[in-house]
Amino acid sequence: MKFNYFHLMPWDSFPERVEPWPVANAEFDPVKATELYKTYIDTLVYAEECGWDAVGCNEHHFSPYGLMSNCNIIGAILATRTSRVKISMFGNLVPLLNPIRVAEEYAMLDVLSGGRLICGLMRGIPHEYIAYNLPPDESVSRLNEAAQLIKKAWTEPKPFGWEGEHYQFRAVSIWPRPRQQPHPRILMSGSNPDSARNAARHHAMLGLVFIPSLAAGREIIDAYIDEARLVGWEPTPEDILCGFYTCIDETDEKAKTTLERGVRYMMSVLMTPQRQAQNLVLTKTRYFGTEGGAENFLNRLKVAGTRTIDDAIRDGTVICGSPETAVKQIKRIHAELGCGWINTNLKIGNVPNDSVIKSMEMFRDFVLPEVRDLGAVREPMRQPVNRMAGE
Amino acid sequence: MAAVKKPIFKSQIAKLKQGELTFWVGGKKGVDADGKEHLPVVYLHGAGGLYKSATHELLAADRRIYMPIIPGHDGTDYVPDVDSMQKLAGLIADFVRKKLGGKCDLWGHSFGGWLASWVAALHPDVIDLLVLENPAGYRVEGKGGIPAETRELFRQMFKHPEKRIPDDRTREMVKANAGKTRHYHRGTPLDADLVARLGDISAPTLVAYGTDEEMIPLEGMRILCDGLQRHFLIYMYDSKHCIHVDQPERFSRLMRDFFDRGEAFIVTSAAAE
Repeated sequence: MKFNYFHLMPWDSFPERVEPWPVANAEFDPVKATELYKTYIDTLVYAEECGWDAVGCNEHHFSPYGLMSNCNIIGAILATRTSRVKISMFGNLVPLLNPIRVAEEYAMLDVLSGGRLICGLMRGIPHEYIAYNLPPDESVSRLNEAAQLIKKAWTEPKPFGWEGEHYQFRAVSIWPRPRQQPHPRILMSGSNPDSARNAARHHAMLGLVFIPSLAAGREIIDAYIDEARLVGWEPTPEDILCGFYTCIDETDEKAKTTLERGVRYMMSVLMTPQRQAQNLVLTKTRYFGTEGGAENFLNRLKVAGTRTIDDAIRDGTVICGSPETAVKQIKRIHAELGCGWINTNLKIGNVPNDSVIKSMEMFRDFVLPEVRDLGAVREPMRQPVNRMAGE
Repeated sequence: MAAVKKPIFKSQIAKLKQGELTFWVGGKKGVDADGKEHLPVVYLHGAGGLYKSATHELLAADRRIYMPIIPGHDGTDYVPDVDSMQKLAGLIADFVRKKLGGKCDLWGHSFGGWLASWVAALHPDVIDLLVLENPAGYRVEGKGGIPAETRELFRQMFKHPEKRIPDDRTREMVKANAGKTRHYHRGTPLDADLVARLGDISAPTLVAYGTDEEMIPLEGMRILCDGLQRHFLIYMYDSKHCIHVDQPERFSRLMRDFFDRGEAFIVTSAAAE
């Protein structure tokens, strides 16, 4: 089993009141932010020392929810301050950006890091489309076209042009090209079966977060595996990364208390402003394009906001407790989902940074040694499903 | 996009020294920014015969388009003694000299792209700019090719078959056309003689390749591009073998921009949008 250390870089002292989105930045304190960035980057670098296999960056806009509006900047710092871990990008929000720029910057990061980059080609969450003034209805078609164009920019040895629906370039030849050949591993999000199938069609790693239950996660993974087989490739556990809020302390109760506080702050303060904007996008556009897609997304958020930590522990959707408990939870996740990567997110909302460090050290000393070899014996992901049988 | 009035393509016959050549012609004579009349565009069709698409119609809004029927196709007879790619190229070059004043922009699709390459290599005087759309003749290691089964053939031809303009030819007629090209190329997948002469092509060449193309392998396009003096390889997103059917708006816009501005088409302009 491999572990990714994910960090949202939240602004963890936003006042507890309801703000509309986009959130006014009058109360943003740049001096404090300098310290915050330093702390967060140091934490990510420390994750390498603590045994994590990858450190993850992400991209969000116009909100105290996350301070990484360009994850490639943080990625560049991590590329030079770490030496072993992979640099996993849960951005770039490709439909919002110039895909050639994405290809170039990722190639730079891959070269800078000595070939340690995992390239996220993400669609983003709905309200980001307001931020960058792009039609949410086009998000999927932009993502798919941009992903093909980026791969072409990485792999084409001679100059080429591109005449697409959304992108037109008459002469492309990027410098540098990526260090990993033919190109770095691509990661795409799959928060529902449709997006998981899309990731499979791009031969990308599947990234899952916010699953409401392990059974729901399994359904998404099955959709991914089935689609991959349909288009001619076989996923391995290392192609699947599942994300969980994580908090480890001496006792289950201590961990629960810490995580509960952080999640409450995350849900009621940091995520509240963007809900209004998300609702606008989801109800006034065809962001999901499929019937029930918007409803499912909103329900998922609603459920996530109302569930207690006890609910989440029971359902296996957080890693929270003593080291012994965390080991059991990770083993359950592995057994039920078959994923080869777990994406841990320890800085939830306003969880204190010293609690985060304590969690990391307990993970290093007591959890990792017990779960490192999970899945070391490679087995088939799953027997092929006979789609004809009763479907 | 504003509605484009459909041009009427008319069938005519050119009497050349080798024999008769049937062709279709239509479109308006347009002028460039300096008032100079655009060169006519000659379109050389693929092995399936002449299929007039929305791309032809859009391009014909300000250009005269000439579309010879490759002898043997669409019910025409072979021309005596024209039985090789080189001789067929000579026939097309003579057509340009006799009917079009000696100069054209040349666009060839699939087999027509193969033929257009030969015209450009052997008769550079008749061509200003060259467009090769998924050109045949560069199939390496037996990859690609025309599928034997009709349904599979049509699957590989069109990503968006719904964009086809109905014509009165049956699938079987189209399939029958495909065998006629052997009269000229003898079934050679990779035309080594042409590859050896690619360096003789002096016309700036736009190579359009569908991102979902299956009949013509990408490796072949690399051989082609490596041999050309000055080329622009453009990937046509969401297109299979017949780009002119799958993406008429994009493809006609691209070609118009290339024909209007030559190599400067790589510089974006408001007019090109």
